[in-house]
Amino acid sequence: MNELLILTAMVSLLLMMLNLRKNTITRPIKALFCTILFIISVMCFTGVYGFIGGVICTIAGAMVAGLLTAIIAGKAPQLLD
Amino acid sequence: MKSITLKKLFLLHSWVGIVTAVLLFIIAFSGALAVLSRPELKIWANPELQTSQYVPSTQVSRLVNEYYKQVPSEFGENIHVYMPSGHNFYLLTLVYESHHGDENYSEEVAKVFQFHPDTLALVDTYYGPSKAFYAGKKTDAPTYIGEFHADLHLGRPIGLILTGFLGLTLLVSAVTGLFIHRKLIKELFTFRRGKGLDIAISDAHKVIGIWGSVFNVVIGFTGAFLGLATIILLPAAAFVSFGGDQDKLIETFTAIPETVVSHVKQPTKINTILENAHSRYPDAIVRDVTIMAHNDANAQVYIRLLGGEAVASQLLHYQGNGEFVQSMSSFGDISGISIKVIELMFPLHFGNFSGVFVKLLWVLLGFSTALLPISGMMMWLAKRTRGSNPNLTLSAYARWNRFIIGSCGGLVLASFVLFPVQVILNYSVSGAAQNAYFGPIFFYSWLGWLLIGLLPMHYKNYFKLTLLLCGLVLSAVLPLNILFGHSNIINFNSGLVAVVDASFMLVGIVCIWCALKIKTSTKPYLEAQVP
Repeated sequence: MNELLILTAMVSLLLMMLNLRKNTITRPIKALFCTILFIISVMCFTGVYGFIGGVICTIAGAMVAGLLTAIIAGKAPQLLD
Repeated sequence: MKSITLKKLFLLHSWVGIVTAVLLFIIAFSGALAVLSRPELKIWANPELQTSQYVPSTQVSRLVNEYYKQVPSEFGENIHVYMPSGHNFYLLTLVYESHHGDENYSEEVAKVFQFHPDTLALVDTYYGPSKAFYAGKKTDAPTYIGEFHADLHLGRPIGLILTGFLGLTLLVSAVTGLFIHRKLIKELFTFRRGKGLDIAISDAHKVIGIWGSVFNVVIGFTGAFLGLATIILLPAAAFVSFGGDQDKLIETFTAIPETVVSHVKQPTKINTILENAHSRYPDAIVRDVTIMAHNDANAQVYIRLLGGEAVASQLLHYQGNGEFVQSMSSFGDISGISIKVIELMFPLHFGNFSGVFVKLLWVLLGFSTALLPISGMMMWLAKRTRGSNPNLTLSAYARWNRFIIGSCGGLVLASFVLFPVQVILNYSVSGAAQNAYFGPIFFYSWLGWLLIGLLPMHYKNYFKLTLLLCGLVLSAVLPLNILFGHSNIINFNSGLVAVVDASFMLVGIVCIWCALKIKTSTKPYLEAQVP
């Protein structure tokens, strides 16, 4: 069960990063998707590691997901369009 | 922010980075490896730990009482039980200590019994000063790398001050980097691979810097605290709050105070206490147990736990009769937000507050931190070779590159060499005799590879060779373990060993593949140095 929660959390974070990177959707929808995916991730990590551990893991996971998205997928300005 | 302030911050960022780049890489890379050193790689490195890391509480209780009868009464003042969990000793270790010495020693003295974690057969004994026992305990490749990360094997306090200072420089670099990088959000995902090496390195530096900024700030701050706490902060705190009395300060922050022996006999219920601790925190690991005044009416038992639901490590306090007293931090029962923050610093730095997944996150972020100073230095050097009036000649540029590859690549190679060496040592050398090999092998292979950089070869060829050797060395671990190891991927005695061996093989193959992708320069030496 824990493995499934961790996987869901990381997939949510990766989707959040891909969503952040996309420039074909409007900013409010982007913000909405990001918030939903981030909340899902926090909930999954909190379910496995408790509140403080979950929050720390979500932040660390988001950093790794962002880094991987940037290095693998690349491509330029997204947020300010 | 004013452009003049930004310019100053840029200068600060550049010079702090240039001066400390190689050292920062050394600390960050060894730190990333050290995250997995305890317990995963330690279990991999010690065949005794591979079969079992758990000793039933009834057996612990039996052994403590059995060997207590064999030591003089003064050695029952303080009994330490180190569990074979992969965090301390590679054997179940019982240390019976007399704080006031005995007929042979005037200092703190110990009688030690060490048992195989699986069979519980007596493997080793020791009698002598406590300090000498802890100083001479068996080390292994991952522990050696972990200790190198802590003080660069320069000894204390010099090593600790240096690593603490490097933590501060990482903090300064991370913060100034965020200020000077004005297109922070715009370049969140900008990584242009196909536009030449210089642009790719510059983009990588920015992307890693932005995404890793929170991690770098946290690691820099906690690293500075851990390095400088005992050397500078402790005397400073003692000066401010305790009139310069450091002993009084340590006494206040020590969770395990001395116990007054009543000389009234009462059996200490070690088994009941361990069972109770396990039922309270079933997911936590018992690292060690301290029994004060064993089998006395005033006996106190302290159990150090790691993991479970608590982020920081906990200390459980019991009376000798099995009554639970309290759960507290490693610093004792001290209230206040500051002690909570200090408590959190350790798991935040080590990434050991949960399972392997969190550690893998810390390893990835740690490696990205290691790449930051190197990419920054390469940008700085490349900038000085460009333009109509470059202030760095091509041969100087090539020398600098070879120095970076020799020092940083040499460290990576020296660290990787220790793993196949560990497999061979496990087969040929037993116990603490292994300790003598790690230092010379690590430092001579590092120095040797650095000296090869003095040869007039193209830096790309040098880099390719480094990567190739790293890959070959890591790939050798799996076959060596099949040949000499007690557990390996074929007999599958330990799942952890099989996974670690396969991981080494995978990383090794990736290194070899990357090395083969690098085009070797066949041009004459000086002509070939053009970046």
